[in-house]
Amino acid sequence: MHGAGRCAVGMVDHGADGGINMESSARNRFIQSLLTVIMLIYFAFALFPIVWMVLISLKSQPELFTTKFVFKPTIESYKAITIGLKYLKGTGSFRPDFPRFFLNSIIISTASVAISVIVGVPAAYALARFKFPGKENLAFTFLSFRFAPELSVIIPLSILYRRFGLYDTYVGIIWVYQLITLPLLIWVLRGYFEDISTEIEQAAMTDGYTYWEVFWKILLPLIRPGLAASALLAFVFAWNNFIFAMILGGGKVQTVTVAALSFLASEQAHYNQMAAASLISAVPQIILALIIQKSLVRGLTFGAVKG
Amino acid sequence: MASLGLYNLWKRFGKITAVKGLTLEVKDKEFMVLLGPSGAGKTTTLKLIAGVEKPNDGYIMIGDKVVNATEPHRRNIAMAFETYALYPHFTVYENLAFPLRAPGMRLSAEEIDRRVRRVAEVLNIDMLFDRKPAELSNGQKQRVSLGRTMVREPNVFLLDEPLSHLDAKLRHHMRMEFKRLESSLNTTVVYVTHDYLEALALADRIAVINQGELQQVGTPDEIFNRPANQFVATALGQPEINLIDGDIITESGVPVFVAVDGEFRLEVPRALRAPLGKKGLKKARVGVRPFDIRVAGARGWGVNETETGAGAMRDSEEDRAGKAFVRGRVYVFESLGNKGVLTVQVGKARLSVLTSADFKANVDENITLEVDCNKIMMFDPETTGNIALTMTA
Repeated sequence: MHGAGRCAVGMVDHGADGGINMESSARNRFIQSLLTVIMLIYFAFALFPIVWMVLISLKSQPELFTTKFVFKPTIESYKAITIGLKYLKGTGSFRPDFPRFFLNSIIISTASVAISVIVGVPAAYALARFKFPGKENLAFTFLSFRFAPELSVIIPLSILYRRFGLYDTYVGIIWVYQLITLPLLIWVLRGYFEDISTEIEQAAMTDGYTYWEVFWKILLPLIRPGLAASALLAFVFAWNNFIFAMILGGGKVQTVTVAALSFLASEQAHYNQMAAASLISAVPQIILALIIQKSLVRGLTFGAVKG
Repeated sequence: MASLGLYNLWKRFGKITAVKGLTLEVKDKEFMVLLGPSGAGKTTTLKLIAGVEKPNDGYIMIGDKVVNATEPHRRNIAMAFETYALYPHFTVYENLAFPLRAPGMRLSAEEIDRRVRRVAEVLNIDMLFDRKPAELSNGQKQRVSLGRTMVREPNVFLLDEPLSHLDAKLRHHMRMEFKRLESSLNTTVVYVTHDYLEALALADRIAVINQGELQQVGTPDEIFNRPANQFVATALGQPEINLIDGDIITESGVPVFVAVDGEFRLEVPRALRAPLGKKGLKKARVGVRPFDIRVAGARGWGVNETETGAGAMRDSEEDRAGKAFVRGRVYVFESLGNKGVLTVQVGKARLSVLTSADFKANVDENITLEVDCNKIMMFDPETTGNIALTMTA
């Protein structure tokens, strides 16, 4: 009797549990599908401009100003900006400048980041490790370059650049881009170096390694996630910069951001070519971001040493 | 394998002076323990020897060379850090092999593997080879950190609190292992600890340091039985040495120590009379180790509680020679398994007495204590120096 009673209670309990589980799993499924719908809406919202750009870039000149989604796609715009329009009737022949500008962007952004890494890693180390007067002020000055509006310094800079012969040179543009790339690297890497205990360095030195070997074998691997993430962000910021390249660079060192404007300058507004150019110039960033996608988030949010 | 010499070493960090004029010579193959409370400058001293910190003044000699200007990696010194300082991106194996892969070592891969495995077996960490430091317990980290110093054959071993983070059982085990290693390592060792038992068990000689200053250097026996000053006396021993302040008076030509409103009186032992007389001290501080005090009479031990303790004793005159008696009330009794610690309130002072574990006492019970006068130490209350030693020094 007693045993049966206990058994019955147990079964009732079990049934109740099952009911709750079913109920809550149904609710979970509803929340899940709601989230999916919201995500899809956001996805469409975020991707629509890119989709629209792709569509425009595939349209021919007469269809440009229609809002049609169905049309006969053409890759004329891509041809025009990469190979040139030589074979097209009525336009004459000229070599498109876009590939050169694309190369300019790559040279300038890569060199800017490279110099920032070479200068910024030791600078970040010094700010993290050494005590010297005015340290915090110096660190803050680096950071202030990042949030001072570019427009506020552009006129004096442009006067200086013209006077010193830096106008429209790679050196000049790469130099001014340090305002964009260097503060980011210094501030991210400083945090990483501060997270590494001094005693780890001291241990490596007593283990028989010189200062430089300690840096290469111990410190560099430990800051690598932060270095990768901040270097990528710096690259993106440098690539996207418009105002410095616009004012301080001429035809020789023009970058894609400035070049994109030139499609509007002539007698016709070549929105299709502009879209094609923009899409091509987004490719390096997308590739880079995909490669280090994981370490990008991790690198900017976590410290160097865990445990 | 080398001797080590520190001469008038100073180290300042901003306004803080961590090491104040430290002079210490460690003989070749000697096991030297630096004993002191936290913040005494022990770790800084090790880092100065290793060369990862630079002294503000003074000389460091390894063998017969002054190494002040020698880079850490050329000093051939192995150091285990209290914070372990393991390389987080390396596995345990790579951590252990790291010193052997240093550019100056030039060892074959097989030799490196052989040495790493040998040390890992001794320390019982060979099953952890593939783990990263973040996946280890503190005790395991500490053993890896120790192992990293033991894979090499350095001139000097510097060990900073290598047993502090181990649990009691493992610590005792490791202490024994160290004692064995000591003979097999055959190398000069400087070992930092705040645990006096570790110091007494392991050291050839102990250097007691407080606030950056050397208090005393000596064998464990010297440090424990002939402490140079009150600090050294209290640093060793648990429960701590009892200290009683009192006056020195002369009774029929014999100096007598009187404390606690005359309740505590003892004839100054012969050995201490000459130094005491020379100093002409009117006041003194007596130190008695808890195991040099016995319970003279408690319940049922033939004590009439209305009489003074000394008079009540039925011991023969001979037994009473060199003994002093003092009455007090039981403050608390703690049984610690194999022994007991009895705390007795005597006037304003509290005395600790080591008893057997099965000792029975009630709180506030009257009790008479018997002090072995020949075992007492006397300190100058002004300088806290040991009166017996400041004479000979």
